[in-house]
Amino acid sequence: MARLQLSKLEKVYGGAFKAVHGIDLDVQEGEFMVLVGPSGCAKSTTLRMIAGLEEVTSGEIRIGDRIVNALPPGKRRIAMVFQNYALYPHMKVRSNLAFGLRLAHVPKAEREAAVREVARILEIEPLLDRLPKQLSGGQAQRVALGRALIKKPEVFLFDEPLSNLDAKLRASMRVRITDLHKRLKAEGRPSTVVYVTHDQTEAMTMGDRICVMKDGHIMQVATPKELYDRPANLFVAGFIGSPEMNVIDGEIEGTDFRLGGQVISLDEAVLNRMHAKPQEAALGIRPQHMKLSAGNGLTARLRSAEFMGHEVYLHAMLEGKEITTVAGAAEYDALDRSDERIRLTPDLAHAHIFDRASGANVSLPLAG
Amino acid sequence: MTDISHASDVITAGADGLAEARAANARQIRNAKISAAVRYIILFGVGLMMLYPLIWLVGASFKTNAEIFANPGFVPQEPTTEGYVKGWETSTPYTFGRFFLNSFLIIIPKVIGTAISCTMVAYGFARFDFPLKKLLFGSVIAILLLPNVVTRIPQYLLFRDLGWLDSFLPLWVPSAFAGDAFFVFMLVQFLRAIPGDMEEAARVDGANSWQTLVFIVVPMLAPALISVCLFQFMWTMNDFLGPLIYISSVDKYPVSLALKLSIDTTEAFEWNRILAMSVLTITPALIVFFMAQKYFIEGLSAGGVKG
Ligand SMILES: Nc1ncnc2c1ncn2[C@@H]1O[C@H](COP(=O)(O)OP(=O)(O)OP(=O)(O)O)[C@@H](O)[C@H]1O
Ligand SMILES: [Mg+2]
Repeated sequence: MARLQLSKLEKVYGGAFKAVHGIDLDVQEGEFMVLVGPSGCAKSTTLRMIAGLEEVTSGEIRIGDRIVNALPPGKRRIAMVFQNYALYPHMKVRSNLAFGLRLAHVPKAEREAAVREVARILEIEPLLDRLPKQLSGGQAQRVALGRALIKKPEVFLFDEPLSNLDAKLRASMRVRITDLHKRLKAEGRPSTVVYVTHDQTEAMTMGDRICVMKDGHIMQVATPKELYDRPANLFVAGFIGSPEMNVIDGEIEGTDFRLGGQVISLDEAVLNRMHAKPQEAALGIRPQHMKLSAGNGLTARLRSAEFMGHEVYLHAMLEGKEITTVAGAAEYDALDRSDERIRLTPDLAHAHIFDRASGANVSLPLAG
Repeated sequence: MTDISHASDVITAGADGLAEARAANARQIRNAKISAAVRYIILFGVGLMMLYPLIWLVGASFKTNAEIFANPGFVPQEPTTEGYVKGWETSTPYTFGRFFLNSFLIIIPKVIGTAISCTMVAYGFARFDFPLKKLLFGSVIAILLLPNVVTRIPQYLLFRDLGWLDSFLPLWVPSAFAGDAFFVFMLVQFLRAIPGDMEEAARVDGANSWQTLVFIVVPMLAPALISVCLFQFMWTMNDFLGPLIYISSVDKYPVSLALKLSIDTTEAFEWNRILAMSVLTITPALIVFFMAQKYFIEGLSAGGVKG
């Protein structure tokens, strides 16, 4: 029911360290926004400012039509799920769930009905009379989720809620959370979500849009597909996608991209997209788009191969730089590996040219 | 054929190895038992040595006056409760019960005041930022290091001017304002070891600082608070100097002063009465301690976990 807007949001810790550098972010009503980035890029700081747990140095946070900068967390109509669950250790699950309602003086009968409802949705009915220390990690996280859900908040905030769980549980919780989000939307009370993670699988599978952050700056905000297909800069290109995008440094001369002694001729597919021609450039190409070829193409020296089942990751040295390419298992078997040399042809339709100085992707069609 | 005989070699070799391992294991178990026995004997001996005065005290309180100095053992030859009966009556118009009542009148408000005020102050120091926080916390530590006697005289003058002499107020009031720096320090350390996430969750749930303190922090702080109450209980029960300085009328004496009274007023000391009353005096502290022992130790050790 509420749109969340951050404008020129800044955070300075202890009067000296600037953790968040005036970011702008607009999360639509009912949107699932994922904040992702390497450790220390101020994801948590941003989230905690939205929650009201951290003071805002400057800028504005709007939820719906209210500016919430000066409101305490309890009045912002938000709910938060913490990484380590943060359940109240001395209260039974039931009281944990109902604590917020109790503070809001919701009548007892209503509170109990709400607890039952949430417990049913999250399948934690048998756990209601346990203490948090008697729960497994997955159960505790469901209770924490329930504690957020029961308040019917306008904005849900998650700070790496799944990172304490094992891989399998994480996958099932991921589905549970996205299902819940869809279900609330279907029930006509769409909830806005800001979800912090450093796991790109979580980001790519859960987010309607993803906000990639680095050192307190926003690098790009886009849908998962767009981030993958059209990364705005070198950082996003390297951060999203696995195996990582190959970034090959070189120089542009006319329509040639020169790297060491080898040349890639940039064709129309790239040239038409480029809105600048930096001298010092880098060619970005995903491993999936580096094809093994028979006769021509770039020459690289094969170093190792990782067998992944239906495909093989080949690690090779191209002009002193390690690159990766993906080959089908059959293709790999058919490969002539006698002299360690392989030939690679980049699929230029999927290539990106980056300006090495600014890191910007100059081969993106300009917005519009 | 060769293969088979080879295999059986391996099996016998394996069996030998197993027998050897079993013997070594048995040896280890035996050694562990011996060293455990030695350890317990030593511990028991030292424990007995430390407890001896206490045991002697209890034994002697059942002896006759004459026997106390005649017989060094702690088992009374003719057990008598005369010491208790006479001691209880005291040489004053009041029975010892009156002094116990006074002690509790001092202790209970003091313990409650300490628990409440120290929790609030510690919560403030551990969880909030405010101007001069470092300086103020530094002064708490400084008070901790300051010898008590230094403040006796100014405190006495202050309470005299307030007209509080010969009342319990000088004993209650400082504690009700977190005057015991040690407890503040202990609770701050304990709080620092508790992650703040639960309190943040409570704030997101809509709790203000007071509600967070009462509903979330205090329950988590319970083991430390129990230690604080126990310490305060025992120290106040045993406090001699405080009441001696501020309380002058006998009808307000706590047990610690009353004991001294029985030594002062009797010419030929009735040692068995004094000892009997001493036993009664330490009983409440012992009972409370043993009842709360579990929490007490929990509170002390958890406070010691990294700051
Ligand atoms: N209370 C604080 N005082 C000073 N600096 C802080 C404080 N909290 C965080 N920082 C700094 O702010 C930056 C951002 O921290 P933040 O916790 O937001 O990162 P993050 O993106 O959540 O990282 P992670 O993925 O490791 O959780 C870091 O450089 C951190 O050292
Ligand atoms: Mg974080």
